[in-house]
Amino acid sequence: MKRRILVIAAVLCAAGGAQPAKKWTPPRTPDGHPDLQGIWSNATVTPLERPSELAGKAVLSDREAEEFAAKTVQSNNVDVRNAKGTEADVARAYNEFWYDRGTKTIKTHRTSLIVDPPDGHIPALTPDAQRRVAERDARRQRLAEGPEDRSLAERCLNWRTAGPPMIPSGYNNNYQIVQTPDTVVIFNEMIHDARIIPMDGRPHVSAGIRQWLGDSRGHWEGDTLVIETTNFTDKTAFLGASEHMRLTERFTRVDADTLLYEFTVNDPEAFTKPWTAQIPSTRSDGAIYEYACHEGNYGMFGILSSARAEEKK
Amino acid sequence: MRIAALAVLLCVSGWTQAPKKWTPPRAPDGHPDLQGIWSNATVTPLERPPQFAGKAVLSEEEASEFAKEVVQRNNTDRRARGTEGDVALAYNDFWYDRGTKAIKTHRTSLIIDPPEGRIPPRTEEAQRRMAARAEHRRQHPADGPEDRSLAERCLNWATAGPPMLPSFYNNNYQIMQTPDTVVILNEMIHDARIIPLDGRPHVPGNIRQWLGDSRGHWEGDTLVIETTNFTDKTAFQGSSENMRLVERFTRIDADTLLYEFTVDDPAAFTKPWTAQIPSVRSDGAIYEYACHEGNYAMTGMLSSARAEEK
Repeated sequence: MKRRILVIAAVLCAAGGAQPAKKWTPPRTPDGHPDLQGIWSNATVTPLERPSELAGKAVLSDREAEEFAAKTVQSNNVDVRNAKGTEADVARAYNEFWYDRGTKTIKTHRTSLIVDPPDGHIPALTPDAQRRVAERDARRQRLAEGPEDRSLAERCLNWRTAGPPMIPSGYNNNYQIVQTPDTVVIFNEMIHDARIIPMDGRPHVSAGIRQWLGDSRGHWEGDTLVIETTNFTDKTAFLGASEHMRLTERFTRVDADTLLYEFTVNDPEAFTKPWTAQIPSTRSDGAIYEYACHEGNYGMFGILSSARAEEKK
Repeated sequence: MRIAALAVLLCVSGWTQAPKKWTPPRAPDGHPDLQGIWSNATVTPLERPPQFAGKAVLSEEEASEFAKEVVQRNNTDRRARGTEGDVALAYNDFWYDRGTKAIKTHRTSLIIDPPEGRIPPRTEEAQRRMAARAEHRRQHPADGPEDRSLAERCLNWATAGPPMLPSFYNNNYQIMQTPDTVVILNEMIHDARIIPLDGRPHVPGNIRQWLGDSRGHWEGDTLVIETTNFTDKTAFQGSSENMRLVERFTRIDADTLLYEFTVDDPAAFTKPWTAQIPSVRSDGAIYEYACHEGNYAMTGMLSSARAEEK
């Protein structure tokens, strides 16, 4: 725990926030805890892992951050594509209109969301996890025998960036927190799941119950909301995780417009050591509208029927 | 008028405790604390069955007899194996989690207004729409997934609402409440409505949502939620996209949250109508909802429709 405080302090120093966090006092709910409620955005150009061109460099200067953002926005722009009608882009689907990506680096100007390990990369997978990932990739690459061969997101079941843990995505980067003394609700714009998290100290559900979103329990550590999630399914596999992933999320208000979101993945079956990422989520003034997944989307149908056609060749 | 109707209801139904004597627990902001998990499970139907025409309320004995009769009729383990209508004996009673009792008031229908306990006649326009929809269903049962119901497509569930109605399973809903927001999570199809209480206006008229757009406020000790901006695909009991739904939640004793809703939709119904469900406190937990995982029914329906065409 001590180490975490040091890390945060280092981040804040390195980032050169306009105001030191200590002087800022968060608004509080009637029960005395910081009020985390509102809509927060994780949109950013900062990647989860440090890009290879920034190896050895943990933090960017203001100017470097701006340049990095401009470059990323440009390379993300799917309207800049000249290969109309190529195999990879048959119908020019999903032009830039569909996206709502971040356009700035995170406030700390770190070069990755991962703060631990210090090289900004996910630790090596265990041999067991490598095998599982390879098997999964092979299933994904073969002609889809049925919908189960396709990703959970394509099947509208679960979205890797909607979590838990939550990470930035191409669109729908917002989440909303509602907080009472004994319950916290975290509603994610992407795929519209609401986690309803008891804060009353009750134990996790029994190990025989595995859920897409796992089973979350929350408590306060000082002014930080801490949520522990277990009981994942073996199908969720966040970045190679096993069903025994133990996820710890931390939410701390650090200034009027920033909710520091931190998560630690602890899963000795999958990762050779635990790892931690930090996203300074930004207050959003917009509203979250309804999420639509498969309505009018014939992608799955197309994938499966073309796989059957391919087999007949 | 609503107060008068409630008073009548309470008299005829014979609550064990007069509600006036009971004081609800309160949230720190002074409003009644509605939080917890509540169940709508009951054998009482939305509309009064013909056998009870003219009879608004059952006696204690009649209510338990009626419950027994419905439970027996609903038992899906009692059925003839291998008939055309039940090829694989799918969905035996294990799958269901229906109510086993009449609602506490012993009314013969959830609908309390109109007093005959039936949905008012649909407008001509609504009748035309419903007939066209039924005809389309006959002519095009499964050209594509859009021809099937919203529930079969895992988009929306007629009983998950809003408004919420008893169903054969997943009858629970959970309420979380802060001074400016109420969250209602429905076990069926796992949608959470996150409802502002801060007086903000509805979203513009061109934004239509599966669950509509809900805004809440307090009227005394009753939480009132008004929902508009439905889609024209939701069509609750024949409603139009301009349905204006008003839901009311009132705690009336330690284990009962009175849930009442009024459907106001002149484009669909010749007059507004109101139903009441005394929701019962549930001590269980709500687990994750699964819809289509491992369910090949949609594929089966569409591919057999294609086979039929040949």
